[in-house]
Amino acid sequence: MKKIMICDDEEGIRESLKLILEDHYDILLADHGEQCLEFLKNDKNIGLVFLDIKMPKVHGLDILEAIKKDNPQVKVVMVTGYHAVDTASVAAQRGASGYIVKPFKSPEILESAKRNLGGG
Amino acid sequence: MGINPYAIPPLISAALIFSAGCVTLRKNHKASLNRIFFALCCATTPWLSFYGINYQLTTTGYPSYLINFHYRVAYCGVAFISIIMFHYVVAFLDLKWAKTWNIINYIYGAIVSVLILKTNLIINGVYQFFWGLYPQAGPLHPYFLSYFISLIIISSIFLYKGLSYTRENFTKFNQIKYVLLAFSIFDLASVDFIPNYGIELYPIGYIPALMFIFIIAYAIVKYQLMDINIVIKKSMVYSVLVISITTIFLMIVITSEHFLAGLFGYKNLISSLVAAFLISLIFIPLRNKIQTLIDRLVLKGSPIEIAEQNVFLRQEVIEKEKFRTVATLASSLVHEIKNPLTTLKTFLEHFPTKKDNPEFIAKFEYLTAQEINRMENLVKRLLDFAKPSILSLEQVNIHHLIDDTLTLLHHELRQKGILIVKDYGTALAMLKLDSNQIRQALLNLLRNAIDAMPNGGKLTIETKDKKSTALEVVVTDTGCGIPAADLPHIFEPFFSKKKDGTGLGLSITKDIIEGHKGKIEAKSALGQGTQFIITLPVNS
Repeated sequence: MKKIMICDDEEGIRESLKLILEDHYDILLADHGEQCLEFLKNDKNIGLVFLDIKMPKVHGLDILEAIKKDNPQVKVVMVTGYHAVDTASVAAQRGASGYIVKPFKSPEILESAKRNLGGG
Repeated sequence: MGINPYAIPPLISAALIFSAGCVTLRKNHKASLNRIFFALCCATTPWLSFYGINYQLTTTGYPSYLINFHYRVAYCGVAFISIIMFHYVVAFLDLKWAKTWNIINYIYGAIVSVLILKTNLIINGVYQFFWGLYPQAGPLHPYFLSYFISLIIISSIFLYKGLSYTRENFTKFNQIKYVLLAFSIFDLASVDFIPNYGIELYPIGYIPALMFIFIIAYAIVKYQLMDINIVIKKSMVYSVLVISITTIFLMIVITSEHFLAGLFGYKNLISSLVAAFLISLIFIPLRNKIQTLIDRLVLKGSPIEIAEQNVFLRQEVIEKEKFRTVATLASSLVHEIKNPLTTLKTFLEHFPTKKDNPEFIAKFEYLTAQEINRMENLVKRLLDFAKPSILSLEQVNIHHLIDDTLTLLHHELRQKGILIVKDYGTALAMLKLDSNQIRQALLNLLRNAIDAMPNGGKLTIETKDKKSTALEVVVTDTGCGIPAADLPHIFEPFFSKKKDGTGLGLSITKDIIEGHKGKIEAKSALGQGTQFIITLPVNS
């Protein structure tokens, strides 16, 4: 089973994503950017990160850049409450593999995980 | 043959007056007042322009029979000036009974025009004066003049009377005040009739005509007369001012030059220079004085007026700001609500398949409770913000308050072509209220009414006695109405069917009215209109 990391400062969102994905993938939870980067350094099995954009301290888009710098093979899907074209295009430029807008649907998350990791 | 300097000021005045008419019409060509004002400018333009042209043509040596003809055409315009002024006053004060007089006046104007053009009864040739050829009064001219002046006097009396019954409406009162002042000054242009009788007095009618335009422009800027809600920038006011002052300056130079030439019996460059020098000595400080005066009058106003206007403007700004803030807050809360909503949705979605998993159930219980609390807090935050603050009660005349609130919406109402019908049927006008809050409540209701009538309609505001213990304020529109299914929800927060509505207006209104121990109810018929009935206790 490939590992997915969920990085969101909101417990509800972390738990929701975990609930959707836990039957198919190994899940790792991080509640802030630094923790996310630390997990990635220690666990080379993580293939996909669901990353929140609006987080305190470090912005999701900056974490994305840091992830891609050290772990170019790891896929990152951004999760956000805003339908903003410019944010989406910055995310794409910095190497995000997907962009999901809240409130999301379970199949949407599963589909995204499947596309980025190739099945569960 | 050179340029006749006497021709310049009337020509410049004509151009300014015609431009003012065009600007007014362009700003709102549907409003009848703007149209009549434009007509007035159109009738004034031939007088000033043809006079200017004719002075010049005299210098050029143009045949006098042609100049005579020009004067006759210009005089047709003059014949209509007082008629249109009367019409303007009738429309401005909405004097329905006087409307028949307009028809009679216009028929009279048409007959007089024919007499001017085809006979020598009113214009009978031309005089040769030092500034050029000038129309000569015919045998019927005194009668023509009497009618002209009578109409102007009657119009002024109407305006004067109008002042007394609009004393309570700050804006209208000031509008009438300035229209009266403008028209009175315009009347001074009648001095141009004096040379018609052979008296060689240079006609300076263009000066009062220019002042007339200034005063109207001032009333437009300050009191939204004719709905031209434009802010004339300082520079614009100055440039027009400089043009007209220069015009007057030029005229004084020329006249004194003429006088000096008469005095010394010769005319040369030195006398012109001496005249120009002498006048510029007085002129420059005078111009500065006038500029300071204009600064104080047009751009700022007297301290009392500033204070009164500031109250209105501040109120308007506060209302707009508050709504904008609430709207921004609401839209940011919508985003914040997305997170708990996502959690609830996901957990409920998985509930059927995972309900036997104790770990899931534990998380479900904990997270759903947490997220619902969060949503509740978000909504509470918004409502707290929108909630009216502590009441500050004072004795207020409800009718004045309604009038004030209507003044805030005056522009919007006019623009949408909404007719206001006021029916103040109560003697209990004095109530103990928080005027700011009640104004906000009324403003919300009136804004809703305006929004319901995008293509115009009738807005009725009535006050009624309710067994002397309460007072009813009834706001009725003839707008699109509210569907029966929506009616029970309209006072609920966030209930809005408008494209950019916050859904808070009526909910705040209800809070305010209930805060005054009153009540509010709504009746509506789809396609026919909506009625809001506010009941306020007397001296609660």
